[in-house]
Amino acid sequence: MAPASKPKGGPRVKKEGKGDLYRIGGVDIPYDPELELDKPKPTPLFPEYKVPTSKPLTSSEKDQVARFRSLRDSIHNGPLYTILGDNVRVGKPGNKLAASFNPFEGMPKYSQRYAKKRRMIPKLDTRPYVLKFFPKELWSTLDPTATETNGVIDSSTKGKSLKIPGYEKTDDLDLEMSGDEGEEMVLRDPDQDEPLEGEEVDDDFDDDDDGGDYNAEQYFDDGGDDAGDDYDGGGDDGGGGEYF
Amino acid sequence: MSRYASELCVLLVDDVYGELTSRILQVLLREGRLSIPALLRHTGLSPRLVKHGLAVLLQQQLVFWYTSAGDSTVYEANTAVAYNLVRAGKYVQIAEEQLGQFAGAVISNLLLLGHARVGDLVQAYGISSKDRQPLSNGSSSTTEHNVKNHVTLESVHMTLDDLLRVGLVSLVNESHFRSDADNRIEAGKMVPAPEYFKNKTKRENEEQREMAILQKLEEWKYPTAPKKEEVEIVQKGKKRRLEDPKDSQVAKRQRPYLPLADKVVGTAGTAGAPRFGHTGALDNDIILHVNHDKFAAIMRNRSLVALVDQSICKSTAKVYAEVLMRLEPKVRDCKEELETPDFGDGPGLHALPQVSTDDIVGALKESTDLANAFGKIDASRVNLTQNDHPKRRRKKKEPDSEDEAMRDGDASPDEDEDYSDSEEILTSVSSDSEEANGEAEYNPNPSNKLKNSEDSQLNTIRDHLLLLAQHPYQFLHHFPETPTLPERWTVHFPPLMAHVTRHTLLQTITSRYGLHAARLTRLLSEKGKVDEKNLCSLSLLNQKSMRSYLTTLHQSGMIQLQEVPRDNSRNPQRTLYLWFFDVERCKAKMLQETYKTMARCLQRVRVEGEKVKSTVEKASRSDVIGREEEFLGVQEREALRKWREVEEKIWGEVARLDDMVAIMRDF
Repeated sequence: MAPASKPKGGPRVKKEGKGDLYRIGGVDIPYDPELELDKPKPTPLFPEYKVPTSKPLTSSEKDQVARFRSLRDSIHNGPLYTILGDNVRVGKPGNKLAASFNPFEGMPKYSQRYAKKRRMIPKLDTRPYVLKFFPKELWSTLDPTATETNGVIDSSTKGKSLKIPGYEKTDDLDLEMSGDEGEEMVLRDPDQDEPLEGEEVDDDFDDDDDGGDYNAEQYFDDGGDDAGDDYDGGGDDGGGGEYF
Repeated sequence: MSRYASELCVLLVDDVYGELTSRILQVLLREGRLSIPALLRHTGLSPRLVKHGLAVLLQQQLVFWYTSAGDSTVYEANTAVAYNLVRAGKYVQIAEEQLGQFAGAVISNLLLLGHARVGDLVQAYGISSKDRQPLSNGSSSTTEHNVKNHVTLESVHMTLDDLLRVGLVSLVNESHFRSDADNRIEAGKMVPAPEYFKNKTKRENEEQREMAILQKLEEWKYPTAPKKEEVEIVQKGKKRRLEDPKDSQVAKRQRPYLPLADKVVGTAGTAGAPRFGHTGALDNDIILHVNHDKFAAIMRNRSLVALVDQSICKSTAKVYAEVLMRLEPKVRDCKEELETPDFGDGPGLHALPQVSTDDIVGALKESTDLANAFGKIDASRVNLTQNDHPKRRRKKKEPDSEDEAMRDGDASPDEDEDYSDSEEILTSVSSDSEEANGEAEYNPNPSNKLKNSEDSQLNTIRDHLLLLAQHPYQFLHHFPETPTLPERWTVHFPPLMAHVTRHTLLQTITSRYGLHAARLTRLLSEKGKVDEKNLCSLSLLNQKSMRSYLTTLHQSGMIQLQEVPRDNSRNPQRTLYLWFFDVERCKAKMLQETYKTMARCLQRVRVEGEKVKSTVEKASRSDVIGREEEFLGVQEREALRKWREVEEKIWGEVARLDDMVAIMRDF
């Protein structure tokens, strides 16, 4: 851009030598037409603002964050982490699922088999609890077998143990495995192996009872109600065969 | 609980434990204590969901519960624990620093599991309790069994024992699941009625009952192991430590000048306590959880050391860290000193845990850093009267030669003024002890004696310690040598933390509103309520600019204005306007703002996470994990890397903000 040139074609302004009188066509004018009225500029609407930036994290701080993240990840992978769907409110129907269905992302895909399952309700029956620290009304939730006789709490904790990432109970079979085979377990073949503990796998894709063809009619018949079961934590009904 | 604090707690719980728990907690924070039917109504969740959610919250101690007689159970949010989720990373790091890698892992797992029985915890490491038998017989078959993870029953027990002894982990009892008020009610029920105490007056009875209640609460708060022989032995170290403060208080009253003769001098009493007892292991039935109070105490030490590093130097910080580490076993709770009454000066200070110079010297290895931290100066040039009060100095200086007076002009007069206070305290302490003990040959000016001494290491460390004691913040309190006791040092936390808090506030004000604003605030905090004219002359600012600073500070709530009418008419022209700085108010204000910032940071993380949600989900697919190169495109990997960076940055920032909260609230 060229520097702004003075506008041409306006009234001819001529400044006479003496004083500060201006004339247009020989007539004195009582004001200064070149006066820049907005000389003290109005405050800008969005003034220059130097965004304060914090110092980069020190290695110790990075360490802390890493510790926190790994702890959080293990909590997220554990049995107690939950993600609620939109339709958990009792008596308040949320959006119709068919209406909010995303046709691009929402279709069941084969790769969903590997996706992390959302859990809507924590899985409480996997570990032992110290029942005396819980109110009685929750005992049946924690452990259906718990009873109290004469102040002594009796609950069967058989077969239940705490799980710590990295120290999962290994079967005898696993112990005998050599290192290579163990690695294979990690990169397991989805069609053959049992799923790892704590991981729920959607079995829907294995149910090829009726031909396995995509049946659009059927989909739309009951899709409205069942699409939500994608996010069901596999808790109660775990119903298969909805997606075809 | 303020709006922002509860917002922050909900966000934290949501981030860590998921949506169900956070929704219940949110309702509890909003509505106060609720029973399950009320919770159902407010959350709009099904009974099954609410019960499951409450179970998770209780397992993690995020919720208090209380069942009063014949009434339904009510639940109440435990905001302290919810907030402390933000410190999880720090906890693990501290545990690792103190007791090694594995201890950090154990703390991490305890945080993961909430409270846990020792037996269950040990089992979770893949060691069944059956394996225990061979261990106590001396063989180590478990070692082979778990060689992959390098975990043995012994090592788990060792670590847990260490953690218990240090106090990072503590025993749980029912009282930890009740709020303070409910605990108080329960304690009131257990202690007999005032008539039971057979005192002369009713008032005495009441007082005695009150004492009994407080004692009961104390017992609950710091539970000791159940009365089992095996546990007793292992726990001895901890028990003794827990009893220490009480003992020393009793001792203080009986013999105010020799409270330390038998135990305090020397290293922490617990160091020599039996570690992994000869009987074997911890009782499987004791239940452990993470002890937040102790972690706060350690974090306080860390922040103090950082402050010394900042304001004095690295090597002094090293010495200070050593002192604090020695004193740390005797501090179980940051608020403890505040509760203890009659801490003026004199005998009260003597009751504080102390550490002697020799111990510190013994613990610090010879290092050139320590010695080199001080500039060397020719003895003839040292002017020992330099730090005296100006008036006294003038008196002393009169006989001095003109030369000498010229030379010591390098220290600016301002500095002299600043340090004169603390120096006076020091000298007054030493002179006090002189009078008390009638010791004639005590040398009030220790540096003279030191120059002749051989032990340079001792001198250097002593210099560092004196420097800390002379600092205006009074990082240390100095007890000079007496005939019976060696030279000792202690930290008197309440005044020190008041200084640190003020320091933090001023730092924030500086970074927000500039140096001048900070200067005005400091002036106000020193002078109390000041008129504008006076303030103008004191601050050496012109009125116009001063007013602009005062207005911004006032607007943001850092300083306040008081109007004092001179007559009944309340005419603005005949009214005095006094500015003042209220630390407590400013602190509260700043705390709320910090909570708000933290909450906003967490919300930001969420927004950022939402942007890369699909990629993150893909990366967490079980077939992708471990084979990212193969399954993820270049862009996806780049997006993930960026997301991790952003998340790290924001969480790091939250951790810094938490440091500030800790200083203003917890320490």
